[in-house]
Amino acid sequence: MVKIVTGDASSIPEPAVKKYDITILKHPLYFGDEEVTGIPPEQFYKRVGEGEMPRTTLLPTGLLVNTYEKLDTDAILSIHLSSKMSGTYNSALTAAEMVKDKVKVEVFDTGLTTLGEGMIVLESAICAFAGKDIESIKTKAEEVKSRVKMILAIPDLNFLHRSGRLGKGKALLGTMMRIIPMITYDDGEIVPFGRVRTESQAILKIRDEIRKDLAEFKAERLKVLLGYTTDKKICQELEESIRKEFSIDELHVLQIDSVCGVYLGPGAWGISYYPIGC
Amino acid sequence: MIDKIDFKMFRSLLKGGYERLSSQKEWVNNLNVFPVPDGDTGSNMTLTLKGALSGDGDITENSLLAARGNSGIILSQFLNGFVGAVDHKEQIDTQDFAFALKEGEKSARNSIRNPVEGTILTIMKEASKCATQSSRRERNFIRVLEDVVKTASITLKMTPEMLPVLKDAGVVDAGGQGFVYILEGSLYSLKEFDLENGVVPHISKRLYVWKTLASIESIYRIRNLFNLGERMAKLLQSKPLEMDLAWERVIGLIKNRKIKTIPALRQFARKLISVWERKIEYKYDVECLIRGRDIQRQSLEEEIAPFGDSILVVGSPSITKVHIHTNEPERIFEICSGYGELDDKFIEDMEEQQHEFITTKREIEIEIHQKEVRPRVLAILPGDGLCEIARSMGAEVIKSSNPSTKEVLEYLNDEYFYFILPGNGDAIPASLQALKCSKKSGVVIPSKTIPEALNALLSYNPESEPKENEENMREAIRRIKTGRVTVSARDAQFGTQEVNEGDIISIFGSEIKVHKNINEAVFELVRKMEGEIFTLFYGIEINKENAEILLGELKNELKDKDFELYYGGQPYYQYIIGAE
Repeated sequence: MVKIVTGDASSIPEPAVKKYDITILKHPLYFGDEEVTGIPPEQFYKRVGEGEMPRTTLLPTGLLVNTYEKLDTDAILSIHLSSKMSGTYNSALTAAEMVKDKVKVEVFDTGLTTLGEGMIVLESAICAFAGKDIESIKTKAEEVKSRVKMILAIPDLNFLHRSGRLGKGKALLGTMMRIIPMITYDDGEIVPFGRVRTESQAILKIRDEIRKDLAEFKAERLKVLLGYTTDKKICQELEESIRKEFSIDELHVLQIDSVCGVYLGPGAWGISYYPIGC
Repeated sequence: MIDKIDFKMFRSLLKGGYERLSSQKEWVNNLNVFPVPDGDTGSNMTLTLKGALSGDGDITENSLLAARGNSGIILSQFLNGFVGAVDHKEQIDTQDFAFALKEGEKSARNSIRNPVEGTILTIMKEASKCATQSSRRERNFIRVLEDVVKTASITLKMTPEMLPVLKDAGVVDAGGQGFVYILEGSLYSLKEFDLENGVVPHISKRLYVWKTLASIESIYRIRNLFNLGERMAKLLQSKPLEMDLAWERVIGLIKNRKIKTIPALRQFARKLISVWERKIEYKYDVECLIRGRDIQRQSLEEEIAPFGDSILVVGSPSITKVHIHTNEPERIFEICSGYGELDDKFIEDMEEQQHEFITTKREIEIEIHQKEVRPRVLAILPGDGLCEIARSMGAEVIKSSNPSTKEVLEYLNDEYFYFILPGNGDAIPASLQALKCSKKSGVVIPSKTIPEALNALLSYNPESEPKENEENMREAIRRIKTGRVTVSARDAQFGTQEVNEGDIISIFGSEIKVHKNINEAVFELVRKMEGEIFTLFYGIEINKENAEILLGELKNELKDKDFELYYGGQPYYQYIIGAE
């Protein structure tokens, strides 16, 4: 059976990790020189809130090599963060090359992070669990990648800005009026999605976008991941609001992992959705 | 007059060449489209020359050891032939120099399996011919070298006519350009000898001179571009002198092609990309050094020939350098190892290199594209605070409450598509008129109040299509309500409400009401307007402390609402309030 490997940045809901036997590797995480890899999100955001500066690094090649070798299987799909945002994809390519005599590893660039990446991992894992071969799983992953959209509302863009990953999202910086900046991803990089003043406006904007995407893909139903860094309440409001309008096959609300939290900061929240059915 | 040079002088001429080339290395890299557009010709030639000059050892052998890439190896072969022709002499004159150039050219040409004209080989050939003629009548080295540099430069300019791929890419040959730089540097060095009676100036000083020249050249390139006209100048406005490599590259190309219009620029960019995206037949650049005894270069070359192109097998029977573009690097190494011990094995994935090169290209095209059609937002707002807020959201601003058509017109530029956001209903006709009579492209978003204009601006997303932006901006106007507090300028009657000059009044929609004081007016407005978030802009006549006190009171009184206070600086209106 094909095994799925990914990093903890993909924010996969715990029950799915167990059910579909997904291997999740932890990105090294630090406060200053202190390594806090795997720190529970509550503690992590508390320390960020107290002004500590976190940083994280890509998945080390060595860790990936060990993982690939230990997994008792003939094929692995290793699914990772946008190669434009993280070196993990390249690290995985190197690792895959190193173990090629022992196990076939295909590396997949999601072009996304956190919830969006998670959606691709989840769908691929379901496919793998159903016993599909690696080529069909890759095709599935490509298909999800072409449809999934992630929208994040990030009250404080400075975490992303400092990391140098804000890209075109920089257009949202510097606004003198208080706003909630919203971002999305295009071709593996961050682009502005919009500026809103209130959370309810943000929710309406997300609903508009879902409506447009459903029409574009001639789809009727959705799979949805909702995530937050520190404030769950807004995700519940969002869930309520989209359930009123759309047919939803599957929806998980989860706390975004600390590794992406490094870049999103406290108070961030968002959605990834995958339109299905033709 | 310098009529003879010795070996030591020759070395420093070469050093001058190296310095000149190294200061222009990136420029040469930028020109690189043939045989494979991987953008490394300048680096390769520089490394080769640097190696040749390292230590006090044999220039020929050192350069062979250091040679990298096609152009590097050709250069090392040139040096090999050049030095070989004259190394039995203590000193050489101009005729010896011409002979050496000829031998260098021959040696370089022989090292290539299929010599192509329009490349460094052509430059070498013409340079050598010129030296032969010039040295017959001239014993002054400087004169001869001046002639050679001139001829080489002219030949270089003709390379696009000889090699179509260069013409398509709008460049001269990179290797040829590198060689011209080397000749120029040598000439410069030679002139220094003359000036300073054989005293070689400190290298760092000369390097500094070249660097300065290089930067002047790039400024010249920019200036020239500006001369192409205002349209082009506008393209560069946001990136004046801190031009990065990619920009310099493109600007050079634009200049060469004398592109003057935007459609021509676009067509050029497309063509450029199609050339740079040319499919690579052989993926790897493979090099190695063979040490052995009696290496049969001819038979080695024949043996590897079926596996690739750009083949070079050069050196001596005891040490031979091999270069090939191939898809089977391991196979090549295997064959080579049959001839001796392998050293300096080197494989480079050219596809990867090309990809990187092209990616930068794409970014440039996108950038050019965006610079050209990117819409701009122009807000018309009456106060300095309001203007600053609008600027922070990426808009351009006219500070006025009711500008004339001419004033609006002055802000509009041909390059852009404008979304005009009036902050006042009265400014809408002038804006419409400005677009209409000038035939400039744009649309007037009918924002009749300051909060409407700012809210529309907030909803603007530079990533979205103009149509979508227009819809979003119109929608943003519908979402917001505006209330105003002012002092009546005259006596008037509004329905049942009598207003006297000097009365403090609030205006919300068509409702006008008289109040005892300003703060009471604000409170009443807020209660009437409804909404979850209120944004207050205080006018020029209100001082900051008072405004902040009012904000505190509002927050205290109406705990379930959000209030934000900003300095608007508008005249006439003490407060302008947006509610959504």
